[in-house]
Amino acid sequence: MPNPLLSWKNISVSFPTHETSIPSESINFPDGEVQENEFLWIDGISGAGKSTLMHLIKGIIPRYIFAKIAGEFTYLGQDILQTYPKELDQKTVYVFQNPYSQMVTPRAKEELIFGMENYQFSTPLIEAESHLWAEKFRLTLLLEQKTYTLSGGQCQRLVLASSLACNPRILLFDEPTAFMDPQTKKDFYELLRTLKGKFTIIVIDHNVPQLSSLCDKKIFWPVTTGASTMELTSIPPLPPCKDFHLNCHNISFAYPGKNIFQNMNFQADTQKIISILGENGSGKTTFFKILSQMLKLREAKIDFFLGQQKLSGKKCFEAMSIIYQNSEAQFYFDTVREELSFQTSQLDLVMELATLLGLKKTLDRSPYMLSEGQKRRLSILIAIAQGKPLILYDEPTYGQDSENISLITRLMLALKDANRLQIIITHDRPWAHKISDEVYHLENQKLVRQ
Amino acid sequence: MKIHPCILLVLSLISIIAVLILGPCRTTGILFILHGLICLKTGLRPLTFLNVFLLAFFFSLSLFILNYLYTTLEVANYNFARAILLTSFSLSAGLIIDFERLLLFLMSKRVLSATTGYPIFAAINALEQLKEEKKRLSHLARMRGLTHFRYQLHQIMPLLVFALRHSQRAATAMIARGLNDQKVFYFDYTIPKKDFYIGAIFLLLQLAVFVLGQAY
Repeated sequence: MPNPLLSWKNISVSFPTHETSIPSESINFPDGEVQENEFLWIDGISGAGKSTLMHLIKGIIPRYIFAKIAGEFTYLGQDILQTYPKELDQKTVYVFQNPYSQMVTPRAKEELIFGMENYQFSTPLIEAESHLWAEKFRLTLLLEQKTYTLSGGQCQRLVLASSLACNPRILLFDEPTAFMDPQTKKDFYELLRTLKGKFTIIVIDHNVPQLSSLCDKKIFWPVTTGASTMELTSIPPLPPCKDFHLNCHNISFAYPGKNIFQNMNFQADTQKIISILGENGSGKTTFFKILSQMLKLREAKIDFFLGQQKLSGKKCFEAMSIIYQNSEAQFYFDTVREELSFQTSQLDLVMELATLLGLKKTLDRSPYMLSEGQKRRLSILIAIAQGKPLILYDEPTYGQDSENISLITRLMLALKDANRLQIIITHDRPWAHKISDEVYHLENQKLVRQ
Repeated sequence: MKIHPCILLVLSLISIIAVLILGPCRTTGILFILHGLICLKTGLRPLTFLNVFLLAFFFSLSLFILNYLYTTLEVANYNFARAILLTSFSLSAGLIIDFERLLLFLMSKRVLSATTGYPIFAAINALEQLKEEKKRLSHLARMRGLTHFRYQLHQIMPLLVFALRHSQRAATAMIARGLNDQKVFYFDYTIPKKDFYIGAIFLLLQLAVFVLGQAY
């Protein structure tokens, strides 16, 4: 039997810490192998080390990120941990989770050909491939734009097109569709279907039903962290807030050359979960910026009512919390305990919740050192500790494993029972329909109820 | 009209060097007018140019006051004029030079290696994101009630963490996408002949002003 294309056995990786040079707790990988043109799906809990595997295949570890590695990792029988084959480097493309940090060049058209230029493609070939992939990924109209003006989904499409244009043999995708709207996601999996059998494909993704029918093999990463969350039985009742009402009238907004909202009205009441869906770049995040008064519009009228009282000016900020995709934007203190204690009236309840959410052991650690799932839970707990009646979530399930999603869902339902109004931006349509009282779709510059 | 950034850089540098050598005088005054013409020719709005001049004026005024207090009026006047000229030249040059195209030109001519140039691009891209993140942090801080001045310092840490994570991811992405110094360039970044002639004319004018200014 021929050697598998890639094979790893008894692999464990540990990273030295800066302070002591003592390696951190090691990540142990389940053994696996991939044959040529096979499709492998890797699922598992957040922070278990799935991306580290991709880094090993691409040779980023240990060539560029120092780590202590034990075990055996081979490419066609050849050890890649000792000497990384140049051939494998050129044959492998790796598309990351966060599209913004993959953008290198100033304009989209240069980004599209970036990989092909690196691998010294001829000019006619670059021209042909760039046309082909720009059309396939609906990028033609975006090519003259500056890359920092693109939305997350548009960036991801651009990087994917640029990588696939390099004619690779091994495709590594780390949650490639996390920022994509449902249509683009569907298109992407259709594209994967056409690529299946022609390339070796390894995809890391959570809860993607399409992948079950696509993959030849699946590895589920073993549960090694966050075990305490499994013990969660029920969330204690949270202190209720006063009734809250939100009324937006006549919202119109445009970016240069693009209308986002046109005379849009929106109303929402307390004790509801409202989801907002929409294509990439349709203005979902802009809507949050307007709601939270980060963007101020002259003509628009946005009123907040707490009980019978109309909130004005700074009082509005006291009534809302925002939870961004990047949870780290919310952390200001040195320890988790300080984050949770700041301006908290019911500290005992918050600490009880922290225990239930698996954060008890982390109370004296820096919030930046938590896993992605823990950071997201902490950011929601901060919002609970603040006791705000309106909570806005930007993609709360992004990058989360099924266990964390279930936990976040339960927290949100508990908050709903405590009379909170929660508005969510998400691409996860099934989850949105499952959890929400109202689902809106952003289309034709308006929010349309579904 | 767009002029190649390399030409603009050379012309601006000559004007700046002239001010550094000669200080404020008739020659540098004429060079300033020539520089203004180049700025307007490349599409800088007169109002923006005026704003740049005003900014330079107020910046230099502070230097003037300091000089006036500690030295003589003559020295203060001299340094004031010199500071206005230097600041106006540098600021307006910063506005008219397309630095991205300049970097791409330098990389395509192998003056600058791709492994140095592209990280600079990543840093330029990151500036916009850092700006956005700073706005977001300030906004979130206001919502959490962290409005006291001492909490402003607390924003440094999340911003620093964001910058570190972003740069690490960008560096990894560049490696993963095969960035190397043998990279080829598809687009043509060379200096068009027309720009070269325009640059040559302005350069001759600058030299003429320089030589004649010294002679008389």
